[in-house]
Amino acid sequence: MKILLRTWTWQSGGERSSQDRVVEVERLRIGRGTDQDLELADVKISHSHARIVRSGRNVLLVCKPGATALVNSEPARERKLRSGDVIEIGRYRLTISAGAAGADLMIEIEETVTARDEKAARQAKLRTSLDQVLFSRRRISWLLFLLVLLSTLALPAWFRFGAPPAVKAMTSAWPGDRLWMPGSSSPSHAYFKNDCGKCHQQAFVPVRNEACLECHKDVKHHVDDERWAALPAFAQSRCEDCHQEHSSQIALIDKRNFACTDCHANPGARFPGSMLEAISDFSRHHPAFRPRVARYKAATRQFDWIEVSQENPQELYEQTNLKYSHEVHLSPKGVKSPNGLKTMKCADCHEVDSSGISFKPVDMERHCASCHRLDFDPENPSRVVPHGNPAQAVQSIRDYYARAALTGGVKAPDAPAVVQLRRKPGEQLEREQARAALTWADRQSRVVIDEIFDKRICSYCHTVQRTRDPDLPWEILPVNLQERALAHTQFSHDAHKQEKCESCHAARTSKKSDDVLLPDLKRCRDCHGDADSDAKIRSGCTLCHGYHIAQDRLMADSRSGSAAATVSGAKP
Amino acid sequence: MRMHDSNASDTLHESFLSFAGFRYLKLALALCLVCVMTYICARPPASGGTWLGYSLGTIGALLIAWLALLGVRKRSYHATLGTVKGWASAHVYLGLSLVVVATLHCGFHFGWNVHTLAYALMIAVVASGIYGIVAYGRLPAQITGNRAGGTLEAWIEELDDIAERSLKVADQIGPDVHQVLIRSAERVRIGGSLRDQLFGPRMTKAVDRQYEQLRQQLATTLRSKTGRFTSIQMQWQTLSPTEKKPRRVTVNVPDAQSTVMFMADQLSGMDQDARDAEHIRSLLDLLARRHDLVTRINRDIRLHALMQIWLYVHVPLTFALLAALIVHIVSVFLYR
Repeated sequence: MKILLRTWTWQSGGERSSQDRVVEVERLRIGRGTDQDLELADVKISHSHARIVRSGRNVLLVCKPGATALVNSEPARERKLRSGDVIEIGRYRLTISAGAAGADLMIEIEETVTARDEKAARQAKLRTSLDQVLFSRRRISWLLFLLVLLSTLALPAWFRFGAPPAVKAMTSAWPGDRLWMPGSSSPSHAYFKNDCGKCHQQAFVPVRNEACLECHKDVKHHVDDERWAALPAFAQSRCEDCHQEHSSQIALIDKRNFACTDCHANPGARFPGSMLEAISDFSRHHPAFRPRVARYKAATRQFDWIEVSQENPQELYEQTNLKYSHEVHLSPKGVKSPNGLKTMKCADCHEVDSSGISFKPVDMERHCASCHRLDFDPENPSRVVPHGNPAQAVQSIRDYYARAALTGGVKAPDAPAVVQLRRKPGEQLEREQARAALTWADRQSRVVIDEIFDKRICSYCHTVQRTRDPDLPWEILPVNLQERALAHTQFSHDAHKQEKCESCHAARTSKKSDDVLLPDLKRCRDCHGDADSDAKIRSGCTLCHGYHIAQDRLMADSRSGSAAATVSGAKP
Repeated sequence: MRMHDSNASDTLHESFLSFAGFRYLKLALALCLVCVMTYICARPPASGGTWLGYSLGTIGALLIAWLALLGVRKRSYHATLGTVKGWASAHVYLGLSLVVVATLHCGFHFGWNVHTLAYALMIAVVASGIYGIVAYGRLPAQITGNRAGGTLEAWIEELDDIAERSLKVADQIGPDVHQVLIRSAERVRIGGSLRDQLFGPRMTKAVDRQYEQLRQQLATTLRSKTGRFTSIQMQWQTLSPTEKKPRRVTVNVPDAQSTVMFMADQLSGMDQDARDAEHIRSLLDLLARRHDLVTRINRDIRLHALMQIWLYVHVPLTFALLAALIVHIVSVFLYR
């Protein structure tokens, strides 16, 4: 078999040249060995790798045991060769074609890649560091930067300020400006359903008070005086100064003192001429209570109310025109009653009203009458005078004795005989007899009226005065039943019902109705302390005091732009 | 200052953690202390909107911006403002103090919003940075120990060389051994995907098993050709120190010796069996060396991957953090 071997080699210029060699062999031995007919220098090729042999009219490729080659890209151990077949062994490619120039067969040999290139390619394919397998840090960094910027700033801002309505309708898919919410809104504003624009009406402008006042129309101002309200401290104040939305507090009101003490710690600094006392905290710098106490004005027969500090004991009394001793009524031994000694407790007379703040007025019929009876005739203890109406009381006594005198049978030794004598029914009195009887009745009534008003019944509790009116010889001075003592706070008795009354009110030792039984600050401080203290109950200003306390002026009023007035010396 | 001066001569050797007598650790601790004390004493307590909140926020934002500049400083070889080591030291300690500053700034208020996103990103960046400190502290010694004077490039060169030589030797034993060795060489794995680099290439066990089978096969052939069982056993033992811990090869089979043996075999006029036996011994030498190299290379790749992987979290998340910080600041002033 005559075979033309054409070996192609690549020149440095990129052109390839061929070298022909003709061998005449029985079989063409292919391998790495130097003794082979076709020597292929590649360590992956066996010393003696394969043979090309003639078998009849065919030409066959036969690989040695264990060795393989690719024929037309398919693995083959033994294969009939045709013109145009391509054999791949190691780095070499052998192309079979019909012989030319007298040869039976032509094989073109080409090294597809040099050993050095193959090694370089193999090494280049190795991935030995992270930058060969991971993204570029620079690229992913900028990608993340833009992603965050777009999704949390640009997109929400567009939804909020620029997007057409059709796009806005789709924004539920992305939280939009809700992403900017520093905390959830308070339950009272859950109603807005996170529509930030309800309050944040203009970008980069703090929430305006008008936004709040659109709903909170009836909120009262702090001060009533227009000149005060016009001061910058009020006119420029913002709802947000005290009411902090999106904070972790459940309620919107800042329970801490800072907003109050900003002004009240030193009122004179911001409001020159202010007569307010300085209050910087509760535990040390809170003025003594100034309860409202009553003073009776005889000229007008009315009570005036004045505030007296607890630090002024001389003035700390209350005129009630009643005579009453808490000590007697609360004596542990009991107080005398028609049914013997009765032990009383506070609630027998003082019932908390429905507000839980104050008490129902003490009522004579309900609270006093069972002991303090109003009978005036020892012979007839069931006959009583009405309470609360001196004229009726006087008249009922006069009527009683007139009837008794005319009826007769009165057991009174100093009475005329006609009065003592029991008469038969239908018996007519003579004119003289009747006059004598009525004269006695008149005299007896005067005695009893004087006794009842001045000595025995009315004056027991009331302040009574003799008049010059013969029809109504006595009058009872108006009575003051205590109202709320503290004007600037609403103390809830209901909230303190765990405490006994006497643990705050010194009623058991109070002898006079003039006594003011309001406990002092010291007693409050036993439990209450500043918000940042370790007191049993940490209390801010707003626990007892309100801010929106003006009588008439609304928060909205001061927004109408009244001119600022000079208020030096004005008092709110 | 005197103390710092006395340390100055050691500057080259000291770690960036103890740079300049822990100057930046002290600075960072002082910063934390001032912030914590101010926070405790502050009236009203800090949250984003109070004067203290704004102050802490400003400090935190400036810190983040400055810390991010380390990346710029590292690339700027001509910069004269401090050494890279000094910057790294300050970066680490002030970066850690940022956790305190930012937590106080937010007043412990968290939610599903961009503000907490910025906070979470900052924590993630700091956490990856802490990993980085640990990695820089521990891995370089392991890398040096594993390298034992070699380099990755030289090892890979040697691996190719061994592959070529072992194929030549195998071919002299027989075409079947030659074929087995070609396949065996194809199965060798160096590095690879992220997972392969971090945890070692997959199929390592299967490759080890096949290597073991090949070795036993060769040893059996060797036994049959020489009958010198005892000496083979001894060679076996020198060849098989990798059975228990394949990734920590410490025995280095002398490669030069096997080459000499191989050359001697080529030249000598020994009979076929004796020549084959020498070839097999050479091949066993080469295979053991190959196995050792592959293990070392993969370990080197793995240690380097562990050294670098945190930067793929640290740097991109820093950029995300910078964006979230911008959004945080803009949105706070947008909805005041």
